[in-house]
Amino acid sequence: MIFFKPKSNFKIIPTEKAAEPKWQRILFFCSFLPLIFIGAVYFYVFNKINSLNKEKEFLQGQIITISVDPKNQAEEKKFLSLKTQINDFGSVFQKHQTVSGIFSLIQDFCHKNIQFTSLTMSLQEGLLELSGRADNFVALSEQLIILREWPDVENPQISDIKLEKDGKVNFRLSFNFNLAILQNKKDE
Amino acid sequence: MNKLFFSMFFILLAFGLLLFLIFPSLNVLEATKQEVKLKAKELQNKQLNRDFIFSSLEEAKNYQLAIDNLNSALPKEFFAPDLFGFFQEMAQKSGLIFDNITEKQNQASGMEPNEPTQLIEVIKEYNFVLQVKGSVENFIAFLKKIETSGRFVEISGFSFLNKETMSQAQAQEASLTEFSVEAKVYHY
Repeated sequence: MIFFKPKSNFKIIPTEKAAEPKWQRILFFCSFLPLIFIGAVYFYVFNKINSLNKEKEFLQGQIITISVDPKNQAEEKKFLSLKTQINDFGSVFQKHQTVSGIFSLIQDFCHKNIQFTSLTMSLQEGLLELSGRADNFVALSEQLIILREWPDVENPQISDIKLEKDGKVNFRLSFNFNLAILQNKKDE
Repeated sequence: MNKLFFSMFFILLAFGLLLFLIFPSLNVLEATKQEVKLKAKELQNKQLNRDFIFSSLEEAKNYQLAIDNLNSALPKEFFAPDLFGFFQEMAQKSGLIFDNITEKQNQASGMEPNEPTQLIEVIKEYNFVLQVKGSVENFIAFLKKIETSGRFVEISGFSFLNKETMSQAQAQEASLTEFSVEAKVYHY
């Protein structure tokens, strides 16, 4: 006969199995809640992303519709052309000078015994060159004095002085002038 | 024991899903929201821009005369004979004799276009020298007519020589003063 040695906790009379603690059951059921919550959030987010993508496509479609509409394009082209033309005109007009005022300036400083016979004006340099005939040398020197004291006139120079047989004096006169004076003369 | 194990497993699973599924999805959702917001803003800007263009062009109809003047000041189609005809007419109206018009070297104006787009053409200059004959009074009237005309003319200089002072014999033949005007017009 063979005899087995029984285990130390071996009991012939079965005892009732110990019941699970209540907190474990609660924990078990509660552990589903985060999963359910996460599932719900995921589906909400998924649907939201889908609807936002659809909205994005719709907006993109609207943008393309506005951009490629031939009427819009034509009007935009017309508008840009007009805008550029206005801006360009503004730039060109800023540099614009009215030259007719120079005659008024000459009239203002011209000595009564002097007659100017030729004129060359350069707006770029603001230079005026005149040829003239004076009744005598006194009138010529007075003309120079007038010009030296004249505002907006710089560097007046008389050259090529020549006494004619009739006693009159031919000369050349040149000076620089402030271009703003043309605008002032125009406004007067 | 099993319930405790599964409880822990579910909780860890929920945590993992939160980290690797929900958070990335929330990021995607946020990015999509931003994209939609940007697209909506872009669409709104497009619509505002379109409305602004339409209303501006509608308003521009009230300034048609000024726009016509702008078109004649900076024409898109330039024909030199038209310009010559314009000066001939102006000279005649001022009591001058239209003598000659000579084209000078022409180039682009060097002005920067106001809009960096393909629609914009660079302004070109047309330089010329105009010669007319007549009295100084008529010449002044001619200059004033040009300055106030719809055609935008930039006078860069002018000169005249009174032949009466050169020689009496020549004065008998040609008593009219010759005027030479250096000018330019702009066009696209």
